Amino acid sequence: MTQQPVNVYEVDGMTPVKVAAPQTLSDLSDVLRGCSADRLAAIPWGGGSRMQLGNLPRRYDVAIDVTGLNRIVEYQPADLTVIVQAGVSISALQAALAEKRQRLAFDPPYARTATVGGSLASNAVGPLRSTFGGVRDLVIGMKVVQGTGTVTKSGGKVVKNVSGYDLMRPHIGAIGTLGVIVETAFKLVPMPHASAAVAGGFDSLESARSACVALLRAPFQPERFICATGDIAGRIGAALGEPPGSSRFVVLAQLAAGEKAVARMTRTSLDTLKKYGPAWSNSMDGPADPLWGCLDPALDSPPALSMRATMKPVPAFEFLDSLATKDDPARGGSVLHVGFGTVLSHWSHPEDAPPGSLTERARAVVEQARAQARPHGVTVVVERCSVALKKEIDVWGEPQAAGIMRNMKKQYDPGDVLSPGRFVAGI
Amino acid sequence: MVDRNALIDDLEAIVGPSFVAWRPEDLLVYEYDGSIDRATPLAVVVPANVAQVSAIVRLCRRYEVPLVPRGAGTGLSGGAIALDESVQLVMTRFRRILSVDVENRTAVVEPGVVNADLSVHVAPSGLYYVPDPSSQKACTIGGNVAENAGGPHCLAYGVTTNHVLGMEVVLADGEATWLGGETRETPWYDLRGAFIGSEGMFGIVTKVAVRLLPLPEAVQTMVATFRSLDEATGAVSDIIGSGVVPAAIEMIDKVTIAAVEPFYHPGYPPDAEAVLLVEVDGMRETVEEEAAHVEAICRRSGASDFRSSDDPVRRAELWATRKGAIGAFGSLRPNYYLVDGVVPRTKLQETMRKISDLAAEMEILIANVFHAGDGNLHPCILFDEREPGAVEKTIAAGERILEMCVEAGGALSGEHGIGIEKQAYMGLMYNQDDLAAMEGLKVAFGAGDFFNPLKVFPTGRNLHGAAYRGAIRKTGTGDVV
Repeated sequence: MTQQPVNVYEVDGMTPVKVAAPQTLSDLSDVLRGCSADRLAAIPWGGGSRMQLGNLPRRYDVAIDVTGLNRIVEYQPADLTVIVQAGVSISALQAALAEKRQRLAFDPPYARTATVGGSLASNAVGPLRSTFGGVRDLVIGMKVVQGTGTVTKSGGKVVKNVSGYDLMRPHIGAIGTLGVIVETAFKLVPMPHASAAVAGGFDSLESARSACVALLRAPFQPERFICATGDIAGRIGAALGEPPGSSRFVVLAQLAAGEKAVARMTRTSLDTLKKYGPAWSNSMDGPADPLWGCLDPALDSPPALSMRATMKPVPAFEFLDSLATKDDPARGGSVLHVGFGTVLSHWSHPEDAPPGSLTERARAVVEQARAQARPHGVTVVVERCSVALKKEIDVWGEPQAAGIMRNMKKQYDPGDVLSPGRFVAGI
Repeated sequence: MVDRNALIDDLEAIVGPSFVAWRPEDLLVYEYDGSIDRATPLAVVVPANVAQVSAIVRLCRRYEVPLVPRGAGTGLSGGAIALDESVQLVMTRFRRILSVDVENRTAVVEPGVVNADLSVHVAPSGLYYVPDPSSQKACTIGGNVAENAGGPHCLAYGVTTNHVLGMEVVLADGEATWLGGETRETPWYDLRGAFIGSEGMFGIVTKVAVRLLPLPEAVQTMVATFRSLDEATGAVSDIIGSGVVPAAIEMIDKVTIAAVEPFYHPGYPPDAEAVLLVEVDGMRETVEEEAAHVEAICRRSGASDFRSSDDPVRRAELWATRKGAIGAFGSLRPNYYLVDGVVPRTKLQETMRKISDLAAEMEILIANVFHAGDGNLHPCILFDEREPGAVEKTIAAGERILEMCVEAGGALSGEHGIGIEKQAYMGLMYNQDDLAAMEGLKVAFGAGDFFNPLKVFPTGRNLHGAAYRGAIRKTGTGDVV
């Protein structure tokens, strides 16, 4: 493997002194043992698509690129389970599973770039969470390397297992601050036999919310189910041939099951949407990739600011609306995963704005969003923003039980080797 | 040495004298749970609210007496047994359903709420709580959280950790805090996820937020009888492998069939060696399609009898032999020891054969009632504790079965937990570093060995069965307790 130059591994303007590219588990363990001994700070890297997540690193000496750990370790289709190394890309994994008409019910953005390890570490969001839960719900076993280099595992490769404490879940969303994920066992689901998408454009919050709530009461659950605003709504509408700016909210649902069931789901869903006076409604047979591809901003022109919050589904609509009305909708867009309650919001800066004002503007947007979410007992995590803003806020918001989390960090990374400062509350 | 009388006085000052048990005859009923292990608590205290729980935690810390939480005591791994001269904290007065949010499909309940009662309570709103341990008519939601309980319908929908959104817990410092909330996800380390399944060793659960699912439009229950266990396990693999994940796939074997026949009169064919129960649910069209598919596989695999119904009353009858199986074992032997191992689904056939060989080799009676769809075995070793050596032989057989499961790539426990029962076997699955990492969580939660001591991790002492024998000796009769 050709080693990439250090500047490729920049995090928040900081460049590491060296890059480690372990090819095996024991390589990785050696790297971390070395860092521990030399008191070096290391940041693990997967595909790099979500490295903006996290507070400013306190120190950064070594980038650990895990993409060399790229094997599918064990795949038993008849067990509906797979064990995979952290560096495998999401799309490579899904391609291998698709050969057996199976899939991992996890569809985070940038599947070709994003690795299994990085998507887990950053608890990435895909629309399948509406039905199958977050990726925390799909993991059945995990092997990690602690900051000291010690390799530990928990769980196993069976779908039901309560042998010992659940040490897997704390790593999911920990951006590698408790250990570097090296191997994960997942439970899988069969591919659906048939599928179709239905969509509708709505002008008012009330009608979009009512349509979604009605659809939630249907005798089936769409496997993907979102309500989008701003440029994301515009892109979905355009993909269906609707005129630009034709509606403020776009509801999009993916229906999957056997053929007969999908036929009835499609009819029922369209009828439901129509009942609430959409500006337009439409459907598309099959996986509807052109529509679902509209959800995420292009990787090469990232938004200036991305925020995320998970709340109860119905109140989440008001939160979605509050984000959409704060500014020119063309400068960003938000997605509510209706069946789960996660809202993702992306903002772009106006190109002609004076640079000094941008941090102030982003800060105001974040503060307003947090003020809107607070009454629901929910924090807004800033998943992407400028270094200048990171100097002023904790991107993770106000944590619960920070003391326990600090204790955990001490247990698994006593030398503060792994991404120091990047997690919540100074962890 | 603890001043027991002073401790009891102080406990009574917190909850009132009626809610502290300390006389030997009162403590008898708290000596055991659903497992075969026993121990006598120092005292039993039954608080009514969070403030009392906090006060009890602080008091016991001051006395340096450990605290063992208990729900309904239906656990099968000794989780609720108070080892090490502990005070038992019984949560059954926390029995209110605090709120149900129909629109967002969540509920907040107290931990003493009985599992099945929650589903009954929300059924008029078209909702239910998914995890359904076989003890669901007695077991509590708090106990389910401690053990990360499963149940037949977890095959398609997941176990407790997939359905609990958050908990209010009282930690070892006596402070109450929420882990998670009423939403599907919180950022930061998933402390909620770490706590669920920690077997009461991190703290006391005082409130639980759960998610509810809509009741399915249609349900079809099918029961197929096979002339060999091999055919039945083959059918399970074929169903899973064919791209259908039913809501439940359960199996009972020949020994179990013989036990249930006199009670439930299912009238299975006389040559039945295994009975498979498959349930599919969802939209009418999906259920029709999947039921036809399951039936075809069962018939192709050699089913000699096939029954199927979508009628709730008839469906309950079809389930009766599975749900009542354990109770029916009493007609075969006075005692049973239910082993809870897991194997990958593809190893089901091979492992069942090995268990059958083991029964023959050790000349013991093993009945199998299990969650076949997820490879979760429940071999029940039937014995009579009055026979000399029977307990030792039973425990030895249990250990052999668990070794087989782990060798096959499986796990020590699918849904009952480690507790006292399997702590000595943890080394089969995990090395010292793995176990040390797990114990690190206990430290992170500030629990040390204060809550539910001497559980889950190997102690170097032979507690499993030893506690059992001690209890028998203490009753002084040798009769069935």
